[in-house]
Amino acid sequence: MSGRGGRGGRGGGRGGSRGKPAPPGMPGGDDPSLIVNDQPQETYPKSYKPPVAPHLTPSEERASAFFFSFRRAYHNTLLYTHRHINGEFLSAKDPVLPRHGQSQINARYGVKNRATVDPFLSVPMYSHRFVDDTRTLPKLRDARPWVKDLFPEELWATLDGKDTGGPRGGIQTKENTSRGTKRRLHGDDDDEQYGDGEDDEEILGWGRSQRRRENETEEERRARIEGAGKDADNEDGDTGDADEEDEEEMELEDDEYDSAEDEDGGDYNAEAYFDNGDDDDFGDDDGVGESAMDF
Amino acid sequence: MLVTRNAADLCALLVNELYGQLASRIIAALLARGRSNVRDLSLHTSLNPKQVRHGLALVIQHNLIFYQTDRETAVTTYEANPQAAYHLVRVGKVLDVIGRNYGVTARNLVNDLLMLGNVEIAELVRYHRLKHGRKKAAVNGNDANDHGPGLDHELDNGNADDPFDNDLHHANGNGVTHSTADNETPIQVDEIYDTLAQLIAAGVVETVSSTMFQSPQDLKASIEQECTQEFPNGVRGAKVISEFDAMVKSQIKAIGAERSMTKRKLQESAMYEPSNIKRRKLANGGMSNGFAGDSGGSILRDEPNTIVRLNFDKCLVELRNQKLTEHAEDFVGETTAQVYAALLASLCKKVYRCQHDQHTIMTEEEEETYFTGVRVTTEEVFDHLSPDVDVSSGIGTASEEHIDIRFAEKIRKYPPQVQGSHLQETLDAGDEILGSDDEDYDATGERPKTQVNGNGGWTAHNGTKSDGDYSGEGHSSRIEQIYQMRQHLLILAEAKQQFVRHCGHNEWTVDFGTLIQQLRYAELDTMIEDNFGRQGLRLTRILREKGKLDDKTLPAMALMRKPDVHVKMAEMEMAGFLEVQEVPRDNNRAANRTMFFWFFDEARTLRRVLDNGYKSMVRCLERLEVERYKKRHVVSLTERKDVQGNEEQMLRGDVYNEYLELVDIEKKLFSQVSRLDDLVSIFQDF
Repeated sequence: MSGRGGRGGRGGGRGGSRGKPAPPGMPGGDDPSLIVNDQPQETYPKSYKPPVAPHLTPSEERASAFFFSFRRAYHNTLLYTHRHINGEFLSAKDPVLPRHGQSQINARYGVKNRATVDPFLSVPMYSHRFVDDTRTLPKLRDARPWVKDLFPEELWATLDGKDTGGPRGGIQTKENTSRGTKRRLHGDDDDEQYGDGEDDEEILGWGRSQRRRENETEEERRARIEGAGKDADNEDGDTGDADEEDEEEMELEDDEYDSAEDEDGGDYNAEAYFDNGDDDDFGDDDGVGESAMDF
Repeated sequence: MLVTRNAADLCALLVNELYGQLASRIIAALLARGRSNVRDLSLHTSLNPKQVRHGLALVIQHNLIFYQTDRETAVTTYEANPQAAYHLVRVGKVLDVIGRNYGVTARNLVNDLLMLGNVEIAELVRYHRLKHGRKKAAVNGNDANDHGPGLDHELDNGNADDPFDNDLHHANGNGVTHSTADNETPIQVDEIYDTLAQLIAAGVVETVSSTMFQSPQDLKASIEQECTQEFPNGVRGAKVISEFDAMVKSQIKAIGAERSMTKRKLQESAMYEPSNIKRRKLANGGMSNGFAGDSGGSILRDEPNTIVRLNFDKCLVELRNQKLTEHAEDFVGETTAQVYAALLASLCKKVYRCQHDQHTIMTEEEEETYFTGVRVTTEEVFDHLSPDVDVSSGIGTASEEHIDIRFAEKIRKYPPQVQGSHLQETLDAGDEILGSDDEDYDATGERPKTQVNGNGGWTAHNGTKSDGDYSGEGHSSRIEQIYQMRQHLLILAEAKQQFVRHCGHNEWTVDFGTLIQQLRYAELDTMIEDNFGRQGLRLTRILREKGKLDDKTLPAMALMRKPDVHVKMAEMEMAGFLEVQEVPRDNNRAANRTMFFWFFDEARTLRRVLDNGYKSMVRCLERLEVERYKKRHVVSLTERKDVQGNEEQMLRGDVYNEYLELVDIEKKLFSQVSRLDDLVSIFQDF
């Protein structure tokens, strides 16, 4: 066996006119018959015939159809956040994000606030009713009853749409919850959650029972928080409350305005910058800073 | 799943494609930074905390991340779950396979679950009725606003004559046929509950508990922490350590049992064992009404607050079955593949996941089936076989004396050794001894007596005669059919790939490990052959067989010229398919005193191939973004609510053509992505 292979190798050596002996250090470099062609190769084939993908099989066809219909359905829900890229960075040459460091990535995502609104298009027009507003925050509040037990406590107020911003804004405070139930009595209609009011007594009953359960768990939780997390919470203290009161009232007054501007608040947030960087020692400032920024 | 940079990019792009930009930014940041809390995230993404919290809530709802709250500091840290994010690429395939195996209602339910994330059962049913009740009406009334009603309808019809359809959905109503229920009345609540019960019993849908939101590692750590409190003197000494381990293990078991409680309950109400339904149906010649209680549905009705979600592990099992069936179809034939599909369907009732690692939480029952393997009897396979399949076709005939019945029916009790890439020769000897119980053979495989006394017609090709002769007499035709189906199973067992192992009298099993390994090699071989030609393939196969080889012996073995071998090897080494090891014979490491050993490192090659796969998928998705940007005026038009669904009427001719082009491009790119995902599944997830 080996003899035959060796003969072949020597034959090749004689045959190969171009090239030099192998450089030292290369595997098999000890073999004088080994000839290496060290000319640079052509980097691109002259005739490039890319392989053509075969047609879709029926099951692939079905799978992609399902994917697309699922995607479209999800994009029409309130939870979808639109792709929103900073206009300066969009170009036909490369609409895909460059990824050289986090700051560059962040800069390319669009910011939606009063400063970036296009004044010519933001005037209400008839055709706007057919176009989804570019959503940068999912509308969690209106989406559906959430099972709060599955979420960490710091997100519970966020789920109710009562996130007040700031580092601890997602935690449900007493004011949040009590006012929340009030609002719910006035406003929320259980059946409007999916945007179509087809009522169904049987199931609605369950919805109510579940509501009751949710309240129970909130109470339990509040008791627990008061028991355990005092040291964490008392920094937000009294000063914060007044601000939140104001804010909440404002929010109640102009809900439309709020959805356009407050919720989609700008990415650049000078006050929050310092808040985030520091520890919670400056908790007193949170409320002030936030409300100053938002309104 | 090893998260390389490409994998992370892919996950972020997929989330962006389905759930939107905010969720995608959160996932990307979590993948890049590891576990972090809200503050870290908002610093890193320069989003404000409120936005971060909204994004986090969204991705938790869709099970894309884990989180854990520290009890003392009350700080919650979040951690990405890359596997879950990657699963999004399979959404279409999962919907397809569920639709085929469990019926249209089940598919719609799974679709809703994907839309909603974690949801209470009552809520899910409500949503389902709202959406799909309306949808049916829309199909009749040609309502314009619905998303793709025509599509769904067409697909439903397409499913009916699908040979691999296991027709389970005929069995779940109380004798109500689907076609009438579909069009006329809104969907029955009972039907939804029953289908959901069936899905939970099968494991496709699982109940959610709060422990599922901790990553398995965290869960284990927190259990261990709890358990240490039971040992005030510390965990020291062999005895205490073993006690401690047992305690941790039992706690984890308890969690596993708790998770599968509803499933177990539903399985016990045997109504939802599909084989039972089938058997009843066959025995009585039609659906019997005697058993058609609503036990499964009513169990769920009593627990409207149970939270459910889609279990991707089980969906992977279904996808694997589909893949293996296709594989069998390629190698053996269509009828045999259908028999194989039936076998896999009955076998995988108790298989809930494809792979497991040390952190997987399993119940005892699951563990048992995992380690000892599951087996099914011929009868069970036959019950799963769709009656439409003509088992008599697709088998060649050979006369009795040409078949060595002892060999054909040989029982192989032990699974074959998993073929490692190399350096396992020594084990093979032992393997031979283990597997050499060839004295034993299955005598039940001999032909049924009644047939032998017949006119000898069965030596002719069975396809022609069985219809006329046996269709009338129910029972004997069943025996004959089982016999013929058995022949298909024997073909599968005899095939080089060993699709099936004949593991006992009339019992069959599938060694998924070795089978998937072969599939992996087959795919890898194709890939190497495409890239480096036949010679490259030959060299890698030699290396895989022999382990490490000196570069002097390799050319001799491959029957190739030495320079050719070297060029090929260098090429493949640069592409990462081969490795070389230097072993100097003395201290000064001169090249001519050094031995070079080539070898094929399977694990490393697979990782590299996987990463390339992710990269290609990322490129496809980015390309899609470019195409959308190029046609952005069309996209903005078609996203209008009044245009969606009836593009053809609303759009101007040239715009509509452009829209069709875009749809076509999208489809091509996505099918490319999902084909790449087929590879990734084989290499990693099956």
